[in-house]
Amino acid sequence: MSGDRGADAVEGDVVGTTTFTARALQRLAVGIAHDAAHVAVRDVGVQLSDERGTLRITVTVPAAVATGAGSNLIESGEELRRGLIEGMRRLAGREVGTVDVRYSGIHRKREKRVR
Amino acid sequence: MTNEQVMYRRLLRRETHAPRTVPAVVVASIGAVLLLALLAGGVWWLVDEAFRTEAMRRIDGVAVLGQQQALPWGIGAGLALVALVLVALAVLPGRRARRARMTDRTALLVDDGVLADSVAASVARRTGVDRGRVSVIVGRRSVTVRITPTSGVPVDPAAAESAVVETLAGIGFTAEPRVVIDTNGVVA
Amino acid sequence: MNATNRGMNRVLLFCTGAVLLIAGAAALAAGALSTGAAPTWLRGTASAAADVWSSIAGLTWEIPGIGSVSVLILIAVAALVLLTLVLIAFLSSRTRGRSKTVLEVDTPGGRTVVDRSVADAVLTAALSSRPDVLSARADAYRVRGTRALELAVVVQPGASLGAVVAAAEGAIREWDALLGARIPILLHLSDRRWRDALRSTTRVR
Repeated sequence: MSGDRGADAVEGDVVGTTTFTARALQRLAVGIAHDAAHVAVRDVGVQLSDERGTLRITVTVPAAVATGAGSNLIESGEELRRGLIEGMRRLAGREVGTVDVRYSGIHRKREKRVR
Repeated sequence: MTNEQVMYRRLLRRETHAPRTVPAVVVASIGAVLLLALLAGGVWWLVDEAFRTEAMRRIDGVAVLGQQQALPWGIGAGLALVALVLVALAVLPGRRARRARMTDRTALLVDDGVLADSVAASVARRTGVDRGRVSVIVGRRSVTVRITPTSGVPVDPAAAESAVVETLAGIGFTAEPRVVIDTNGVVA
Repeated sequence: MNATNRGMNRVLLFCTGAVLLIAGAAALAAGALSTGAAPTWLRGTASAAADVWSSIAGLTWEIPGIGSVSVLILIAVAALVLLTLVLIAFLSSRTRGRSKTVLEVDTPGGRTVVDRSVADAVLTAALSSRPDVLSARADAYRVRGTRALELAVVVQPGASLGAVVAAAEGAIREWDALLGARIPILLHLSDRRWRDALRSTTRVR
């Protein structure tokens, strides 16, 4: 848990601290990964640990297989990595040093039909 | 030759020859057990006086036996025989019943049994003979097909041969087809 | 497919065979000598060997605390221990070589790993549902540093092998596109094993 204060707090702002529990951070990471990897929330596994001061995230997701042409796993791994680093910084103010991505199982994207 | 091709060549050479894992593990296990027993015996020898005298007595008894003619001959012949078997296993290639080739993307490995099944089915279809009357043996360079014809229905050997060649060519292999048609057929 | 060092198996068999051959020859020579009708060259080598043996057997080494120990015993014990360790090391190296992961890429931001389950799902899905395929399986191995996949397909008896190979190659193309890297793949049309004997060969659609 930690508290942080807006870097450019101005006179008149309401002062307070924002704290994140470890569990909340984990849930946040899961949400970001779910967004970035286009898979169901329950298929995402996230583990947070400390790595010499920065955050280290290990995320396990199923590989999303699109029936049409899509990006490949190496590229979408990079995308997921970037999304997590950016998201954790923006939403929780946490610096992520390393993101290890593990693809396990598959998730076939079904085309949604418009009724 | 690309890296991948080198890798495939090595892989296919491994897959088409016997690994000799079982004999090697058996030999190593027996050896390890014997050596451990010897070491344990040696330690016990140093430690226990009674064991030492008993063991010395036994060894003297065996040495006396060894003076007789039959024992060294028997042991010598036995050891030499086992040794020859081991050396043969080590040196002989031990080709497995498989065929291999490289395609542009993969290394293709086909078990001979699969080939035999496929050839038999194709020969049966082409010659009109029942699948049960066709038996195929796949060898290193030739494929032998044996057909038991139905009485009164002649079998065209050329059709059988072409079936063999086409089935093999279908996955990129070649072999010499040999067709044997039994002189005696089956009525139905 | 497995990834053990098969050459080592043969080396072990050869060395053991050689040692046993020497021991067997020595036993046969001992037998020949004891009859008294041994040829002269045999008696000559045997007496030479005996001379060498008696000259070495006398050598001793001073070990503080135990006293003088015969060099021969020391060599024998050292050899026994070394041999035992070598054999145990050999036995423990006989693993199957299966790998849980198919691909590992290290980037500055972290490591991306693709599990074998992804390969299995992509490659076998297209094949297992075919009527001419009895079963399909994908395993990952690590052979001499490189990771490779084995796609083992058991074909229905009588099916067209060319069609199955073409279908497998199609699945592999899809896999290549998904992975973004080209890893070596062994396509193995294999015999039916005991597990497949339990599968019915009649498929109802």
